[in-house]
Amino acid sequence: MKDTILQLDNLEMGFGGLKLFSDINISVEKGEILGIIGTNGSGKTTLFNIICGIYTPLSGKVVYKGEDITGIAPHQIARKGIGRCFQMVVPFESMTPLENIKVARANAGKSCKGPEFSIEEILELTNLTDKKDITTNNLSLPDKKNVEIARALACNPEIILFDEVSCGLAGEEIRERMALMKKLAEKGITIIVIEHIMVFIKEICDRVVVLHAGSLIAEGTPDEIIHNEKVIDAYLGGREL
Amino acid sequence: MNKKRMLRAFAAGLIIFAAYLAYLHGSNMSYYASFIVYICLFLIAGQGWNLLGGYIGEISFGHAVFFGIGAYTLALPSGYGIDIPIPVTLVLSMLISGLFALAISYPLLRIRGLNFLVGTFGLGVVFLNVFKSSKQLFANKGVFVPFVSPQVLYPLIVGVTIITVIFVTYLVNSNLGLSFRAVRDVPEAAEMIGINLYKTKTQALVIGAMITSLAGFLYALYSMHVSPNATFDPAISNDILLGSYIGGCGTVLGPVIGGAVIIIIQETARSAITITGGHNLVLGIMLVVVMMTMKEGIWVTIQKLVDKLGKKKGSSSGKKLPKEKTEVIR
Repeated sequence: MKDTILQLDNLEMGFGGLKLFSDINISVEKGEILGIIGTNGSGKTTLFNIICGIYTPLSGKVVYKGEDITGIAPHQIARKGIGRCFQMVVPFESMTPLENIKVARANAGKSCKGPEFSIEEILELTNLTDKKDITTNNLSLPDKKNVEIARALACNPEIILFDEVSCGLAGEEIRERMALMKKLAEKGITIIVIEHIMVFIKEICDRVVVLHAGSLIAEGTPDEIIHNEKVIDAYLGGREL
Repeated sequence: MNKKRMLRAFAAGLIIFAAYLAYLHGSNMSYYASFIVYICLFLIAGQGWNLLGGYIGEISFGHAVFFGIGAYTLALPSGYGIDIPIPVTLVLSMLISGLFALAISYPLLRIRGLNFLVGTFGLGVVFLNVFKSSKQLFANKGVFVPFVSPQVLYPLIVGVTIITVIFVTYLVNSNLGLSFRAVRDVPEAAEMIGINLYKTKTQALVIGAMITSLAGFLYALYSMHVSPNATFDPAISNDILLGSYIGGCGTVLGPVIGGAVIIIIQETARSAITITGGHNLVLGIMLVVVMMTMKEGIWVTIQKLVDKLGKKKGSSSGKKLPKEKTEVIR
């Protein structure tokens, strides 16, 4: 029996007179890795912003574990167990990685009921053990991304939203993050990932949804998606992978 | 050093320093005692301002309001002939200031940046004019405060100063202090880890207001007279803010250094330059120089310089470079 953790019902969103998307229905199962792909401007990050409470949709609702969380303040949503890593990496740069973890644990980490990792485990998972006391401002981009992941993990979330986590990273660094996401999913954390790198999506996602021109044009396993004609035309540039 | 030893060292330092001030006061060098007292007062007020301005990043231009509340909570009862013990008025001044900060947090902390700055400035101007024009509040002539002996006053001022610095050091390194810095660094990301921005800013404002009111309270005790111009003047907000900026915002030692620099420059310039307001001109030039050469303030610049020198030394002697770290004492 399916155990739905997050449900997006008939979401419609726009800014000013411009409609961004409508009739978006996505259901996320507990423990799965869901990929979201789509052209730039198709509303992927906006979808994350709606889930996190930064934007309120024009219509439709976000249901998390059976509770309607549409329009709730972002910090309250975070405390319910939804964590996030941003596309433009934004760790707390004046703090060390350890302090980034501590501040997250002291806030959302107190109320979230997701799988709990100790601070040492988080540092180890994100390869930050040796760098835990260096001011984040002085770290490299991959390490800063790791700090963001560590911070999200310290909240004990049940869902983590990863927004283009591979952006600006090289091959091995991307593979490390793919491995980490798989590990987190095995621990029971549900993962929703926005990504442009199709190999990434194909390797780690259980299911993929495709946004294009204001609507959801396809949904299925990575294999089904890369052979879907609509997706090939709209997103893969007319070429099958 | 264990806690007991630290406490003993603190008590000994307090007694020696307070005794020295009392000695200066009794001798023909009372000017220097007053000098040190004003540094202490600016240091306390600066720590209060720094919680919101330095650690949260919301620049307040109206902290003189809390300074004035602290001073008038002591002065008004005595103006009306009501005798309230000093410890009670001390607690009252912090409570009233904190409650007032809580009340104004609702409209003020919903706005950010420049709007917040203008809002707090306006608040300061309103308070100054209300206290200047209200006969019930003794208007421009002000109120006299009962005399307190130097044997009590100096230990009190020095003790409160040291306790304030210790308290702020502890606070900014606690989880609440980390939340302050998270809100300043990236507010959107702070919300994503469950931090309520409004509540966190309110906590910084209220605690900061209570600390600033302490400075006002001690000022009233020391000067024995309180008037609107001496307490609610926006120039006081300005000096409190400048102390943190010159010393280094968002650090505990920044306002300590900045407060000392401001008082030293003001007092030296006052005696050296005879034209009216000449000391402010020197202060302005000082601010421009600091902002052009040390944008993060004197203390942070010193920390970075020491860090740089340490690295150079490590590399020239062929030793392993010290761990890269520019963390300043917070």
